[in-house]
Amino acid sequence: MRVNYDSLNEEWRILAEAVLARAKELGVELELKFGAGDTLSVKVRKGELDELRQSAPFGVSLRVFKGQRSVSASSSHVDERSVLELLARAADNVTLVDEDAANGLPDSDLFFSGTASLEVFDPDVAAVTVDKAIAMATAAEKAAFAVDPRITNSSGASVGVNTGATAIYNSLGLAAFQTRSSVSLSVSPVAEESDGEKYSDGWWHSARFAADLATPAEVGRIAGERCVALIGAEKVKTGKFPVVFAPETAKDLVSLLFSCVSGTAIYKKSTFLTDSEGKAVASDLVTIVDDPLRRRGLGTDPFDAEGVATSRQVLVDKGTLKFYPCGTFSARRLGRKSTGHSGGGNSVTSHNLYLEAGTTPPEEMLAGVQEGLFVTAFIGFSFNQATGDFSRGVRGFWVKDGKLGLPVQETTVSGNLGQMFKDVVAVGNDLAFRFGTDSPTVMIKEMMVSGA
Amino acid sequence: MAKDNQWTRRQFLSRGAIAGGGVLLCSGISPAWAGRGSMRDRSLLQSHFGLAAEDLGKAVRATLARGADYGDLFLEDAVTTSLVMDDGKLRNVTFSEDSGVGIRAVKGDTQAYGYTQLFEPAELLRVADQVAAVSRSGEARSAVIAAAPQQLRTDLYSGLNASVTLAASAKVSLLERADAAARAYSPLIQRVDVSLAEEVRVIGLLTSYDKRFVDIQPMLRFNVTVVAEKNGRKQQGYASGGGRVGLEYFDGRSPEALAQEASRIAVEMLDARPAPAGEQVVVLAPGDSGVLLHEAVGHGLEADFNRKGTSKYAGRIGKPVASKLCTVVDEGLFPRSRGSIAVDDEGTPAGRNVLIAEGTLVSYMHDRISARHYGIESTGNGRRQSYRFPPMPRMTNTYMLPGTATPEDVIASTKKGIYCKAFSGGQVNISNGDFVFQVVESYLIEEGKLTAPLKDVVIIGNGPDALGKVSMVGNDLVQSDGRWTCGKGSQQVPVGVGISTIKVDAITVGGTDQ
Repeated sequence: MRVNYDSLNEEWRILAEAVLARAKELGVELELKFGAGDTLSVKVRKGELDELRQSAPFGVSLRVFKGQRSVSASSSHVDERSVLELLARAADNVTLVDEDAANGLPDSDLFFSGTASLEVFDPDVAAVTVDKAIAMATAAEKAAFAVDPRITNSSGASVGVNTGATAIYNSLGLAAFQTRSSVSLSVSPVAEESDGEKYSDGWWHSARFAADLATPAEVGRIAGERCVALIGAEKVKTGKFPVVFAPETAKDLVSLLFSCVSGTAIYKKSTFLTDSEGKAVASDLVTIVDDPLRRRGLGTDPFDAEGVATSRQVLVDKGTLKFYPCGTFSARRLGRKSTGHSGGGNSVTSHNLYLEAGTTPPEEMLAGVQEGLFVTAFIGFSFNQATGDFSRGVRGFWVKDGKLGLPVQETTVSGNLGQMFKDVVAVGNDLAFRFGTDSPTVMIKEMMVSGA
Repeated sequence: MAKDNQWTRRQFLSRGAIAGGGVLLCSGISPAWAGRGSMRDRSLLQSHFGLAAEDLGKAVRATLARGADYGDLFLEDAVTTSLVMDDGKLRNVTFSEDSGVGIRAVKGDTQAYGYTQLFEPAELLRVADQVAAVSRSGEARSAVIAAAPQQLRTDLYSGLNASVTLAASAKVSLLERADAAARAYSPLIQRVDVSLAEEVRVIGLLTSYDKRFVDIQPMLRFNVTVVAEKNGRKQQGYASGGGRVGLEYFDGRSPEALAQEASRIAVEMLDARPAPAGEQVVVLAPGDSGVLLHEAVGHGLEADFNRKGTSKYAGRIGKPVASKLCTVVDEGLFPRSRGSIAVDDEGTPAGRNVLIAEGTLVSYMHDRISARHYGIESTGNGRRQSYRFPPMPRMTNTYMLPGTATPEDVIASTKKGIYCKAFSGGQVNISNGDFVFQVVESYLIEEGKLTAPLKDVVIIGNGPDALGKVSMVGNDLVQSDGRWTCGKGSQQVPVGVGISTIKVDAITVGGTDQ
């Protein structure tokens, strides 16, 4: 089914008018959001179709405000009668909750009102057929198998094709509509050694525009190479060593830092980085930017989940934290204005967050390591936001005398996130916008590596 | 503060009213499972979901129209509410409803899946026709292994008493009590967040073999998160409980008890010191430590990974995969447990399945597709998050049978090691077998005694290797209390874990102290 987003925009606008009018009758303020999409995913395994999924979901969510009180509700029923019922229920519930001066719709001077195209919708994505998706997945898996005869099995190659639209309206006159598209490709081969040991890894890519997606041949090849490189992986000796994080793992450190300085964590005092605004939180090699307006970005959003216009902002400038990212609620709790980072309700989210490229080529970084660890994948999520304590399982490679050596698994790296960012001693020149939150290769002076 | 609100006698969905169904959670509906042509279940599917039997039948037949060998329709209405208290203030009361019909066609090991949120005959046919295209691939499998029709267990939980149907006013005081108890626990407690999340799902299934069921599954979860602060050092503590149970849950474990548990962890861990690094002796406390089983063996024994040969445990049935002290069971039949299900999401009654018997691998966990692949009956592990997803093999309550050691002996026998008590989760790579579990409350063991509290740490091991090093199993089996959610392939399902005090002789601890 192909969704007609233009007519949807019109349908939603008419529906929103009716619901906003009812809210006014009920004496409440309203934020009303609609979403709809069209998704196709295929998984091919060992050259055969394994799973085919298609759907065209839709939904509505709303927040009702009465004075300083607020409640939320959502539903998969988007006909007028159902939405009015949902509103009535929320308007009833709102009398139950306590007042909070931070509650309320965003300041109307912050609303998004532009129309500039950020190229986040590609009509060519909607035109990808089931057969085309199967062909892409098949080609990608084939490319992985072609890397090495020891790749004997596969968890499959998947292609996802999505288009969607969201709209947001509120009682202060906000009306914003946005369509998006994305296409993704992932491959998960399994290598097997003669002793029966299995090694799995994979690779993936997603893009807003079909033309920007890495080719099946490339994604498959990288997946195959990553997998084969792990053959013979073992745990390493325990000790303190320099640790180099590849971009696909370094990005997670950037996300963690963001969550620790988000307005929600700050006002809840649940982070080790309270009172860090304007202070050094990282080495002066570290500059972190959130750029919601980058064309074709995976996290590109002209407005946040409350309809507040977004802008490019430097979060960490040469090690110094510039501001706490906030939505309306967390901002008011902290006595300030939203920075356009609402993730819906009271949550805070980043858009296209990235650590700026440095000057060191990654090869040079590794060449400078006498003995240490190069991390290419994480397993597990142990992180304590209140203390910054970080401890995660890893896969990767042992570095000896500046050269990548034996593959590593069943090993952990541990430290404190605050200290880790201060101990960044090199930032790679290899930044690519690939995951939505991105980083170049990053080297940390010393962490505890725990294995045998 | 609170008054009775609308959801007390909520008309399940307006669609029900259109179909003349009216109020849904009436006493006429009870969990049921039946073989061919039961009039009773036919009428339940009809009256609840407002779709005529002929239209459902037409849609399920349409899934087979292009050569698929099996098809089914999964109908669902879910209502979720939550109460959120943030530092003593009731901040939000949320309400959400989600309804849809998932339609599947299977040919051999290949499946096509789609869903619609419109309960209209034409929509069902459109999606059924779409998924019928699965016949483009796969080898048909005609042998159907179907269990004899049997009555579903009705004593595990009752959706009719789902707390979601009760007024909010009956619940606000539970949150207030937890908030007060946390603050009373210690002046070091600086912040308290409490929430109560409740759900009821009405699910129905109709298969191309005319098998059908209806079940009503309740869920309750109560969470307390606190932040303690001392001399500028912060620490958080978390406790959670619940299950497929109504407000009677709190008869067994009070809001105060949960708040005190969260506060105790935060306060004790304020003084945590760095955990040791490298291979250590690890003693696991009873209960939530079962997350070790879930990660180390559970996922690896889900049959989809084994029929595909991607699991470390593939081809190992009948072979040793753990120490002889280990007997591991997956069982969906504990009354009121978060991981329990009377029936899985493909119509197979849940069961008790021994996975590992005295160290030897005896069974995988199956859904319908993997069971057909192996030519056996499904073990009742075909589960899905919602109508938006196709089912796949998933755990229910996974636990280790108790041994004979006393917990005191297990600890006393450990000269140096760490004792792990509370966890935030885990993960596994099913091919190489590496797994981690994340410890948020642990203590150093020195000369057989628990001494200093230790900082958060991740423990990493390899499935059969780690289970092979289990050297003592206590006699104090405890099942987890309603907090675990398992993620697999982007689907979340509620599960339980259980274990006694056990000792693992060597496993890598990701501490920072060498």
